[in-house]
Amino acid sequence: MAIKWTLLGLLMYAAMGLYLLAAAALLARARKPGWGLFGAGFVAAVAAFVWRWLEAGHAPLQNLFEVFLGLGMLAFPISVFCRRALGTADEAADAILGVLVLFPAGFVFSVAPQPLPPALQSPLFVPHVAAYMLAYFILAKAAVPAARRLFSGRIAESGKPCATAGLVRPCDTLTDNISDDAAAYRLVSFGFPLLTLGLVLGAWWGKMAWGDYWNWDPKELWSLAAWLVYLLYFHVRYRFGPTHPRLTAAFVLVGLATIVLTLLWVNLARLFAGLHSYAS
Amino acid sequence: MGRARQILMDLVPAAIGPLAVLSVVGAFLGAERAGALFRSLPLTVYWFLLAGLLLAGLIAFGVLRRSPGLAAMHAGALLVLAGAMWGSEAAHALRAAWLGDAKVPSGYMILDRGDLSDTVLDDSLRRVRGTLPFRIGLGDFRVEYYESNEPWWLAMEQAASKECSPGRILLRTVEWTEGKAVQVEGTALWLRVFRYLPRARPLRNERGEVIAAEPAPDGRTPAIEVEVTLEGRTQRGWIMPEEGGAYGSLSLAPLAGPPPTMPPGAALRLYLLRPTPMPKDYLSDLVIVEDGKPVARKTVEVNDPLHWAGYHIYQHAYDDAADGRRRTILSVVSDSGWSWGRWPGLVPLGFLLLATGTFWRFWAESMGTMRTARSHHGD
Repeated sequence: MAIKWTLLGLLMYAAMGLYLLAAAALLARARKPGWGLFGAGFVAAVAAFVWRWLEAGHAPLQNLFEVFLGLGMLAFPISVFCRRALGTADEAADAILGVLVLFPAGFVFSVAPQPLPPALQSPLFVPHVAAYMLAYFILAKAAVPAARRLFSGRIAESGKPCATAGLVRPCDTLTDNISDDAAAYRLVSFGFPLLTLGLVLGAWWGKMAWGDYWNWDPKELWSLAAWLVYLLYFHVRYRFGPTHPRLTAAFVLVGLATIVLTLLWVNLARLFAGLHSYAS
Repeated sequence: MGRARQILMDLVPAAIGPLAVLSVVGAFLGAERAGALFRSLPLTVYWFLLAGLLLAGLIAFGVLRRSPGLAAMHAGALLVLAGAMWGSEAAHALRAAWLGDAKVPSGYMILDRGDLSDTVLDDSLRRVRGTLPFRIGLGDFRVEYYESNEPWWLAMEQAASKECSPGRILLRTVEWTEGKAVQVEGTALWLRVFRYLPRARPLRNERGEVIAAEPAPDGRTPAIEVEVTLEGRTQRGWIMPEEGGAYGSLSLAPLAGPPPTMPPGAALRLYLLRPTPMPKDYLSDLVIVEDGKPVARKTVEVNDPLHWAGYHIYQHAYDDAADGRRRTILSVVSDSGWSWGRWPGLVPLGFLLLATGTFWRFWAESMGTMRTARSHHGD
């Protein structure tokens, strides 16, 4: 773990600090300053991403450092969009998620930019990685209401007051009109098509680059496992949702675990060396 | 929900769950063994059952047909499975046995400049797997590299080692900082770099030997001035590769003094090495020959294969022969399941339906329903 004393590093730390302050303000119900700080953190994260882009000379989505840097940039726009379009809340949790994804970029992963190897020089590179990044952040966000549903035992019915919102979810007149189960469902429904798009674009790219759309590579298999877990979530929710709401919530958390493994462990562990090794 | 449909619905997690678990198991096995697992007989039976379940679902559940998104998702998955089966090695073998269609499922070709071949090899690149209905000629093969501004590496040649095969030398890189003396790991030698010139011009004595170097903005070769110390004896000199060379070196024999042998573990020679350049692209200029006539030409590179007469031809790798020749290795893959002539086959159609179906279902249909519900609630 090392501190990056560069402009890029300082921008990342600024974004992390602002996100933390935003989370604190939002938890303290200081919504206006909270959103302002969240937006300022977003500006710092975008500046870091753009700086890295200029420094690397290509879209900075090549390795874990760059992917986590990009994920940190998504916290604010996804939070705003989900609140407005889906009626979900948890902005403080979104800001904390932003810090969590920026932390490895800021302190753990290597920062040296590398030129793109031939296999990554494809028009599918950016859409494939971007679709996965968006999906991963949204599905990680879905785990917050799912975890609350699984562990708190509270069901916020439509129109009823939110009595035990807890730390990560200040009560709110608009968003508390939906239950945690509905919030998780809406978020998974929003993220799943992007997860599917990432998988399909990856398969298409594999066909263009390696000759086969499916190579049984460890990363491919973990991605498939994650996709299947969310597929199971939809089927289980359809079949058992009303009677077993905690079971469906558990699937969202298992999905998050497979995403973390797909993103981190597969790239870091030599155990899973394969065609995606350049991503580490 | 009728009893039959309930059973069908219960079969879905029973089918998807084990596949998710097997995917994780396969990730631990590595690509080769995982591929063998998923192509094994029990899994082949499973793929057919899964396809049957998808088909049964589409027939039994009216909602899967009425909702364009759900219909596209399920039909897409079915098409991907069908296309994968049609393009599998087993399906190729069955078509060869029953229909006499001896299409090679996949393999490799290794070509030198000027070669013309229709022979497809297996993974070992030695055994013949089949022949193509056309021949492929290689005009040229080249590797393009990124320009690098990385400083060249300093490396010490180590005394004879058991780790090193005959005819090769063992080098150990030396971390250096200009002006700072560092001890070379595993030896009694101390090294100090006085100057590193990324672009230099050599200054030679009357015998043509490099005695010094000076900065040259138009120079293409670096130079480094070093001092090596061993047990009180010191040697100072410049290392500068020849123009276009990958390395330069400095003999440390004078350090040894009489008798002319180095102490155990000491170094023999100090090298300045060009960092391994990063490949930018691999390109093969190919020509397709049918009935002795060239019918198509294409420069195949990574991410840009050639599609001809039922086969995709990919830039796969290259092979440096002992005599210095560099040959291209092409991967040849049957297009069965992926293309029908110029048209997309079952698998890409399935992917398209699957992706558009999920967006249609979860973004267009679900979000539309949600908006309607919210407007009813007066949000």
